Amino acid sequence: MIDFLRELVNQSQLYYPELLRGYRTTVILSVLSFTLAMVLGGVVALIRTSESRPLRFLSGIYVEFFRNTPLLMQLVFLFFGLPKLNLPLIGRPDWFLLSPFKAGLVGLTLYTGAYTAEALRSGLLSVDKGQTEAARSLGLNYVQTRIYVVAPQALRISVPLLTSILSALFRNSALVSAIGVTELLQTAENIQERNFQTFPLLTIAGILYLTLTLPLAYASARLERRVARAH
Amino acid sequence: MLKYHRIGLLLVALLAVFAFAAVACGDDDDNAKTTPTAAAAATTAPAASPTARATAFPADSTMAKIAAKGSLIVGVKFDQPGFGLLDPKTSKPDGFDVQIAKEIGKALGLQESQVQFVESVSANRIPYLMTDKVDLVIATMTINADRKTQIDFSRPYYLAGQSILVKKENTTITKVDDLNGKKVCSVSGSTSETNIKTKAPTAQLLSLADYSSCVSSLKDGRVDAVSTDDIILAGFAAADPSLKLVGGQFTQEPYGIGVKKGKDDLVKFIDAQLDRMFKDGTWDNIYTTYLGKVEGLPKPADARAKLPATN
Amino acid sequence: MNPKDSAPAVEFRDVHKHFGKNEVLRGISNSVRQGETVVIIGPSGSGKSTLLRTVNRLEAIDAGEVVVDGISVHQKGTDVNQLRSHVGMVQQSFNLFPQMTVLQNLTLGPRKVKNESRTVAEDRAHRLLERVGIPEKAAAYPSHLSGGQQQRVAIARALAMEPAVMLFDEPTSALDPEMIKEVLDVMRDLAQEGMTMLVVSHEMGFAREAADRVLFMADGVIEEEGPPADVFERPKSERTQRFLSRIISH
Ligand SMILES: Nc1ncnc2c1ncn2[C@@H]1O[C@H](COP(=O)(O)OP(=O)(O)OP(=O)(O)O)[C@@H](O)[C@H]1O
Ligand SMILES: [Mg+2]
Repeated sequence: MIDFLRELVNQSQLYYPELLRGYRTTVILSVLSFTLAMVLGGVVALIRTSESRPLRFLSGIYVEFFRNTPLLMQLVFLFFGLPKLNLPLIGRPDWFLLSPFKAGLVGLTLYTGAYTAEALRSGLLSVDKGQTEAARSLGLNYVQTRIYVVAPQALRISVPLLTSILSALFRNSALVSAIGVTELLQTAENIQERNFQTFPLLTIAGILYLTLTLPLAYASARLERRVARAH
Repeated sequence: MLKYHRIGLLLVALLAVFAFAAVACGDDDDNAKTTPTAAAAATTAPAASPTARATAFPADSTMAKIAAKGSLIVGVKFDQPGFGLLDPKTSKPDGFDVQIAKEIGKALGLQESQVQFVESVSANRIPYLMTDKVDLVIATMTINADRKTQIDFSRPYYLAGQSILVKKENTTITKVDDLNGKKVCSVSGSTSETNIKTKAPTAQLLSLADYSSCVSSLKDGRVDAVSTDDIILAGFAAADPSLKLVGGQFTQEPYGIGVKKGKDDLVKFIDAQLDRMFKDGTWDNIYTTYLGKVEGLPKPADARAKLPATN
Repeated sequence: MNPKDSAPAVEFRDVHKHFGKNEVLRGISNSVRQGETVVIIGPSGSGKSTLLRTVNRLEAIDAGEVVVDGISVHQKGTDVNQLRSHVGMVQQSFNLFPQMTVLQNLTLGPRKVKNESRTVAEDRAHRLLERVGIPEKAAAYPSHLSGGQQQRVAIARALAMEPAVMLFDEPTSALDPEMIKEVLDVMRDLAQEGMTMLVVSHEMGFAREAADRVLFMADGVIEEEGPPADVFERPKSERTQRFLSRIISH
């Protein structure tokens, strides 16, 4: 045990620049795709709760597809599969030749967007109908009502769920190593491939993941309590 | 409720860490495969010499223990044309490495069916040895200083070298220097990747999980070249006429047989057996059978002459 | 001004409405003059709320016509948002926007619907808060206000659109007794200042003092109408009598 801890410190000292680079990639990729997934999920949630049946149906297909297939499969498809489809092109063929980072970003955004869409949709549905009526009574139109009145409240209701989605994203982002992004876990694996300190390195990676996910878990629990009190 | 939620998150995070740890150590027992009882390939080596009888080993030796246990478990690749490739019809691996393993098994006094093969991908090879999951690893494993701190190696039994795979129409890449500024694919964490970083420092590296992904990226035009051991690339070039090998060998990658540390007697025994195979034509036969048709490789005798005597 | 002389602000012409098989409004005809305050009473389920909601088209109708300020509310070409900006509505459950301050609640409509500048909207908002008696709450969030204060903000929010007609649907029935008065006082002032008001309420005191007219609804029709004194003291219909005796004995 003492040896293990010593090795932990030793490995951290030896490889912290490389590990921090991987850590940074994980953070940037996750935060960026979460931001995009919030926008995407917000739009999809608004569509999913809109009055148009065909649009609701299409957005439902998107959500169910990305939530019910493995993320790894989606990533591999985006990276390896897309260039082979020879899509009838609007643009140039190399538009579909995504770099690992871009494919990872697109994949994580599409996948996470399906989850944020569901979280925001349940938020939208749980906003009291009286709020909509009050806004419409003032003369606000449908879109204004949703954007200024309903969406902010839905967002607040969804925050606990959204934090756990972000936490899942930090963990899921490890999968982009399959398409050539050297993120945190891959960095640890690359180092251990050279020096065989498998367990110390994976432990360090685990601790670094926890620095991202534990604060979120804590925040999520607090927020959930606050929302519960507000209701 | 809330508490459980939080603990749940923590557990998931920790589980993820340990799941990856488990994968990295390859605690997977389903891969053990036994060799066919029928003689597989055209090895025309003479029967094992009388000295290789089980009874001839000193009672405490590693060889005697293996002979007594009645099986030799060898980690080989299952996806490497020429060296260790699973035959989909028989579900048994075959290739250069596999035949070397069978020779050693024979020398230990074992039946061919007593030599068992376990798939070892690159990352598994050393952990498998350390945890005694296998007795030997013969899996296109390059002898290097890092690895020598973990395990012991036999003398080199094959000398590969890193080379470059490009599309046939490519004329701009003919040597390793040309990789500078180009997009090059290799396997993440591999020796090949490190070599490219030192020999072509401004190459843009794409690091994927395996070489077939790299070749796929080459064909899609995502990268300009794939670089690793020539023998791995030759397999792909042979299978796909739109690809070619260029640049010769710009590194030396001596392949050795991996043995867990503390089994010096076994290493000596293996070295002696390799020496015998070099001398009695067994090695040349195996070479001819599995690599004879690969374009650009030297004749068996020349290849054998280039092998370093020690690791 | 004398309400009796002015042109109608709201007119119901043989309005019919049903939910499935349930016919909720069965031919309502009535006319509310400008500046008039009309209090609607009646048993639960008689269609009072539904009638009120047809005025700003929160509820569609099946037959007949509702006219507000000369505009036919339910006609296809009618700009419903434009119409609603002239018709203020206050509901039982305040429905203030919880994520906004009181001031923001009051300026949202004017700024987004009428494209008013911030200063103009905020000036008016402050004046209205003064008028409903809570100028100091401009920066507060609704959750920090009492029920009575919230309902007064809701009234101010509706007034901020400078409506021609105000609709009130049981504005005091969600309030604790001690807060009812402060809301009714605001409404009484409003009535006195000449606002056209349609109020669903069972506050007899308020109806007696502030209403120009009382409508008694039962089963989707207007069973009886008249000045409060007539309807309350000398109801003609037997149903009205029964209803009144029941709510007064409460
Ligand atoms: N959206 C709706 N869908 C179906 N039925 C409805 C709907 N809204 C109201 N109703 C029904 O219409 C009838 C009249 O309802 P309304 O709310 O207008 O009555 P009310 O006079 O306001 O009653 P209360 O005093 O209880 O508020 C009731 O039977 C009610 O159940
Ligand atoms: Mg009602």
